[in-house]
Amino acid sequence: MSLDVVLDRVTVRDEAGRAVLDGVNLSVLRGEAVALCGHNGGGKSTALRLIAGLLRPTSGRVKVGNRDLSRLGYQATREHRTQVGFVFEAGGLWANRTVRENIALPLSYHAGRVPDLEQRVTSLAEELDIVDELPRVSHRVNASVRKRALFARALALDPALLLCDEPQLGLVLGEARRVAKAIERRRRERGMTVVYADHDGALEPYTATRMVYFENGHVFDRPSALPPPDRPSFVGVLPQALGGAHVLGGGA
Amino acid sequence: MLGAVGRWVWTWQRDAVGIASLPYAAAKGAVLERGRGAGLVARATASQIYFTAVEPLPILGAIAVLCGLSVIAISDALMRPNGLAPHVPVVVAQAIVREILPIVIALVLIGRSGTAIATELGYMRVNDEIDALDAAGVNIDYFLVLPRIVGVTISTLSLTIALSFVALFGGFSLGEALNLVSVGLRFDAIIDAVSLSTIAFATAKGVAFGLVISTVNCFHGLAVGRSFTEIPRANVRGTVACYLACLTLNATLSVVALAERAA
Repeated sequence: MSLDVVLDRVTVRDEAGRAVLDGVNLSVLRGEAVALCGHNGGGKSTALRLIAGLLRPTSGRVKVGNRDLSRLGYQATREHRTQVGFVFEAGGLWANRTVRENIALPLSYHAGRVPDLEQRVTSLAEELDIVDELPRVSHRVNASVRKRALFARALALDPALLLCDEPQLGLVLGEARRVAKAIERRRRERGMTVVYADHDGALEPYTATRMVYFENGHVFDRPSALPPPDRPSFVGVLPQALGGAHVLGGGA
Repeated sequence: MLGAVGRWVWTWQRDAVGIASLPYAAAKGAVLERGRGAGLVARATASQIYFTAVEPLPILGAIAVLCGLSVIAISDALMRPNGLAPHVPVVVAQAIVREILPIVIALVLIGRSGTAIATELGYMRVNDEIDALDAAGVNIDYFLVLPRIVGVTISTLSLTIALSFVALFGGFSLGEALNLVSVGLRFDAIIDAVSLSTIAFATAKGVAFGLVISTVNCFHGLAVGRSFTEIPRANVRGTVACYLACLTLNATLSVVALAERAA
């Protein structure tokens, strides 16, 4: 199962009234892996939170699959969230629980008594090479294990859409490759849609079918909008093989 | 000046509405979730009861005995010489079970469990743990708030009732051992003076204080934004609000009960 994402003239203002996102249009097709690039404060993480349904836009519309997120009832909101995996930048793990409990949380909460819960958790941990860390309390493990545990938890419910904030943060290249492989396998086999937020656009070893650039709350489909010193390298970008995906214009 | 007062009133009423609606939101979450994650919620509730009622039992027991000793010794010493000896058991029972023990326990739990709740939830907010649970489709009011409200309320209630008897027995025994209690005062007379209405009154206070401590601190913990510096501020706000609310509630309930008795 897979989901497409549409941000339609979305504006988000912070408490001071500053536009974090300003009339942003963005579409992500099913099965795409899109990287949102740009400086800190450009609006990437805000866009991820909007898509996850954690944040409501000040104006505009966010649509994921056939759901308009601003009009969801309680059950529909929960269904949406069980279909979306969110990997936070660094935090997000339940600090006083073990890595195993963290990974199992979505399964044990939503699926109740899962007969093969242990097996599923172990299998995810093996895939991301954190089996030995499963019994440890999450605030006692290093940043790399925490990040991989976040990926494992996000993938636990087999999401149709995966949102990753700074996917390389805390991981060395070998660990990131393992994670990237796990994501890519699900994208190819099940058509999982993936949206990355990455500040410098050097996404390697993760692969993006398309890159979108966030700058001061606006979206661009070319890097030229970014100042030269921060212009991203494009290692890891696949050709736009899926085609058809495009930025709808942005607020620039 | 007027603007500052207006802002204060606005903030105060906004917080009051938020706090008052939290138990409802937690109960509604439990209904809407239809038993989802019930095992996890039950475990969190049990943990809350352990941390609130079991772990501090030695220190609370000692406080209860000292309170009991003070009230029994002072009542006996002041009333007996004035020919009021027959009334000492009633005064002791009412003062300890209805008035002193519930509020003393509440004040200790505000400093202990209340601050722990506000700090933990505040930390979870800053560390994105709450957003992560939310993103995973977990109902925060049901999963995080309900166990704390239920756990603290059960704990406060149980401690109020159990420690009342610890205070009476321990205070009396210690008073006897230290020769602070006259021979005429008997423990069974004090126990006989603990009426059903006195226990009901202490129960009502225990429940009310438990609800206040848990709800106020959950609200202030969840209200923390994205900065660690907001956690101590939430702590202070929660503690001060709890002290004010519990002391006001204690006085109000006592006055209402006395007025009813007089009527």
